[in-house]
Amino acid sequence: MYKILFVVPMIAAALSLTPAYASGDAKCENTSGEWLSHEAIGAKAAELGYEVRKVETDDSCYEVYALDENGGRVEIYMHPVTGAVVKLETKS
Amino acid sequence: MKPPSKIKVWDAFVRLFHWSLVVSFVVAWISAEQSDRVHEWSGYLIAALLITRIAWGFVGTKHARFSSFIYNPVTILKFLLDSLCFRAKRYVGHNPAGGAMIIALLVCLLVITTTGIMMITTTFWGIKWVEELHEITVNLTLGLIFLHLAGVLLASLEHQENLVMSMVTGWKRRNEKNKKRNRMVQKRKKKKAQENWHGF
Ligand code: HEM
Repeated sequence: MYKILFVVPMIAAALSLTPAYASGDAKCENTSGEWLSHEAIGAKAAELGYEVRKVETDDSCYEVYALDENGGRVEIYMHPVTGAVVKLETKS
Repeated sequence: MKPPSKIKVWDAFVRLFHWSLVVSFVVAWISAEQSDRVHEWSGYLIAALLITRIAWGFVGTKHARFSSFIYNPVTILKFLLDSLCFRAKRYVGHNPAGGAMIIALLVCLLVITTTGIMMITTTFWGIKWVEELHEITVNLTLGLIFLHLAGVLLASLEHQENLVMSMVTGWKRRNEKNKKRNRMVQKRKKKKAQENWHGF
């Protein structure tokens, strides 16, 4: 009867220890290992007409949180060297 | 009929709320980095559960009401100390530490759901502090949940009862003291009835 008292916390503990995965399946090939600065990437996104909110790195790419011309929420995955848009995610 | 040594403590809503919350919290945690859609919907479910539980805390059954499990800080600290010394008093409803834990969990979950909903509005999209508050509170809540489980385990061992099963069935053992008092109340009522009878 008391088994459940031990098993349940164990499962909960195990669950809470599972690592969280990094998201975004965008891939950016970068053999140089060099990265443009956050500011440079932000400027490039702004040039494309986005209102930039945040610039982050996500695995091999830059990930820019921004609003498009219509005020819609977007995540833009950009190449760390060329600044090219690799993937655009529009949030509804 | 159930034997009178048992008492219904957690009503159906409290039990449904609890286990739905556990499931939706786990789903939200796992889906956080996997699926926006699943993560958002489990978050909405948690928000709905919280709002109904808070309302139930004012109008619900006896042991579900906030007024029945909010104690002053001194009582809570004394209770925690007694618990660690394995000499804590048994409560049929939430004990003082459990009550404080519930308030802490509800407040944290409110902060998590509020910041979560904010994060997908255009106003707060990509605003760092909102995201950070969301994540910090999640980590804090994981710590609270660990303590919650430790507390349930400790109280169960201390009073030789399965509190987890009680949260499933709603039934708990009646307190010994209450049993005795109930018997006395019963006797007094009987006596009074007899006296009234003689008085006729
Ligand atoms: C599988 C893991 C869990 C178990 C075994 C468990 C067990 C319990 C038990 C036995 C109680 C009643 C405590 C008492 O007798 O006073 C309780 C209450 C509570 N638990 Fe949990 N719990 C679990 C996970 C969680 C999680 C993940 C959360 C929050 C996200 C949570 C939030 C609560 C709340 C808010 C209450 C108060 C219930 C009410 O009166 O409405 N629990 N839990």
